[in-house]
Amino acid sequence: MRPPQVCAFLPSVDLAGRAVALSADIPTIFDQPLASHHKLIGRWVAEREETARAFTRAAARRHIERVFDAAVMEILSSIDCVDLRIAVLGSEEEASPAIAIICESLGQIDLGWIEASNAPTSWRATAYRALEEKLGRVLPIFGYDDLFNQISMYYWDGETEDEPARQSLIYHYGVDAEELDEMTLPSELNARRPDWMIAANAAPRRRLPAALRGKLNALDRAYQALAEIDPERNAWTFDYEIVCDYIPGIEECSSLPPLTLVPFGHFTRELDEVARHGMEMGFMDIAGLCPLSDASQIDDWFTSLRLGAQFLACVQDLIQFDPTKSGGRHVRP
Amino acid sequence: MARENRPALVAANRKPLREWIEADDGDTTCSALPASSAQAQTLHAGIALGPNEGSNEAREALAPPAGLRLPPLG
Repeated sequence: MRPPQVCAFLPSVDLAGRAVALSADIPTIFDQPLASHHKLIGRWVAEREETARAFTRAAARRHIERVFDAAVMEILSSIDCVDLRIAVLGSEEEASPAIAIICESLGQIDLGWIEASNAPTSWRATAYRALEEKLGRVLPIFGYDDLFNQISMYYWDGETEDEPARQSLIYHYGVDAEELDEMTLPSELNARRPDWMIAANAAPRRRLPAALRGKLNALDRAYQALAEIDPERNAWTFDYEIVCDYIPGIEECSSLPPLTLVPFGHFTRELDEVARHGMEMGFMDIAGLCPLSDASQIDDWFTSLRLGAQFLACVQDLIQFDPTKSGGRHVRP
Repeated sequence: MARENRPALVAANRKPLREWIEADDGDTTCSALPASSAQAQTLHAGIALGPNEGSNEAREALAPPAGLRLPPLG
């Protein structure tokens, strides 16, 4: 019988053959001084409060988080067409903290009556076109043109017409004539779009019912207000290089946004194909990332957050509206 | 066993929010943290490995406890 062995390993560090070590991110003692991003938001909180209430350090940290979260929720709570999360980020590079808007929703956005009603095609196409043109201003979302371009790069070597696409399939993949008949070509992909997806079917505003026209005009105004935000304080924009500085590892994610306006029912295979990398590694789900060096800039950030929420409220209003109902009543969920 | 006659934990420091933000040096001498015994400190040092420590060593497999029968792999 072998003598009992003295374990060569330190306790808790080698469980079932796997080395376990504490991450450098875990503080070695609890209750460290507030980090730079807590301090930045904390200054903004302190300016809003008259009271000189005394806190423990941990309670001060929680208080800062609660006040900020409440202010964010007050603005975003009415938005239910998409789940958004706000994160205040520190930087490893001693740069300013930043506030990020992250999109937690995945897949096709619910198009309501635009996709599933008997309203005239021209009304549906006009509303869909408005969303295609404008929604990308605040949400990480792709439309049919992006899907077509991705598929074109995947299968047709960037070609967009049938004959060059067919030649590219033969050249690169050695597809014979019989197999080619089973391959999707650009015209076949385009032909699968329902009529309401085609911009040419959109109607001039004056031919729309007044209630629908009103919704679209409200959307236009909210969109225009977004264009007037100071780019330095805009909650809804980001620079990819800066995102990489604040969120290490995001380079591994797909460059594809997580949301789409393309109806899954018509393009299931293609959407699955282009989204595969994102499903495995994550999507580019940042809606905005704004570095802020001074607490005095946070009110401006909130102003732009509110303008984005108002724009999304107009989007919801358009999607939940059913112009075929008399008087333009809203559809009950 | 005789216990040392001192409070286990000192009440945490309380300050206005501004002071935690503008004038918090980290309380390096903070008495609110209980002192660890030498035995506990040795254990903590054992758990917290350095980034390269131990990762390249050829290690001997742990012997399974007597009486534990593992199913064959695969």
